[in-house]
Amino acid sequence: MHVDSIIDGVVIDHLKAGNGMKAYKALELHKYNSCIIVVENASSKSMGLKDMIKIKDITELNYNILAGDNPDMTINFIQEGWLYKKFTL
Amino acid sequence: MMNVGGSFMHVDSIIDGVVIDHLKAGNAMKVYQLLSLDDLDCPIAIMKNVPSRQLGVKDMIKVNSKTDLNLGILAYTNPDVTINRIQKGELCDKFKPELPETLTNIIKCDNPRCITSIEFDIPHIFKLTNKENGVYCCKYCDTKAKH
Repeated sequence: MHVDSIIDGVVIDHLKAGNGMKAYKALELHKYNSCIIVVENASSKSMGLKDMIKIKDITELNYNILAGDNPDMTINFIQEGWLYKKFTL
Repeated sequence: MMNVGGSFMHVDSIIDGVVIDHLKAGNAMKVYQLLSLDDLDCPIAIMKNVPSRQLGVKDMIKVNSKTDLNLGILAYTNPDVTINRIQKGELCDKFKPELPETLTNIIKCDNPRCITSIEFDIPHIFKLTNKENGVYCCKYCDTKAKH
């Protein structure tokens, strides 16, 4: 399953499969009203199966709490359709 | 492809599975738990606050699995829901779910004297008594469920 890129926002990628919902709760995303997509058990070249979260318009979240459970996690900040910053924790 | 406030966000169609559409915005997570989708290990996409022509904003869930889900309970919890069944990449069935005959452990009986309020390990079972108005009554004490 493939999800189109977002224009402004953040993509939390390479979450361990099954951790997508935990991350959703940990980041308290239910409090936000912007468009959020959670993809679970997507196939990945490097991990086999992965979870990912795409969030539109919000970038300031406490990503550090996810690092313990998801050592391979990548965070991509996207601005105006272009990858603006990419980092691991 | 759907327009998300000027940007396009589009999830690939699934090959075999179910698309649960027209959920009220904010209800996707409840449905996720209700259908216990966390037990499945197939690809699942949960979309929250997607713009919709009918509802303004809606939630949507795509499940890429042939497993039978207990979709009937959605007719009770989310009456507006539309279910699309996809087989081999093509839409094979589109329907609104019908109210199930019994609801187990979805709603709780309000009657303080009902056995389910006293004994804790009894399943909360409700039976459909009026199909037209969607009235459910407790199996044990016949108290009407509040919608």
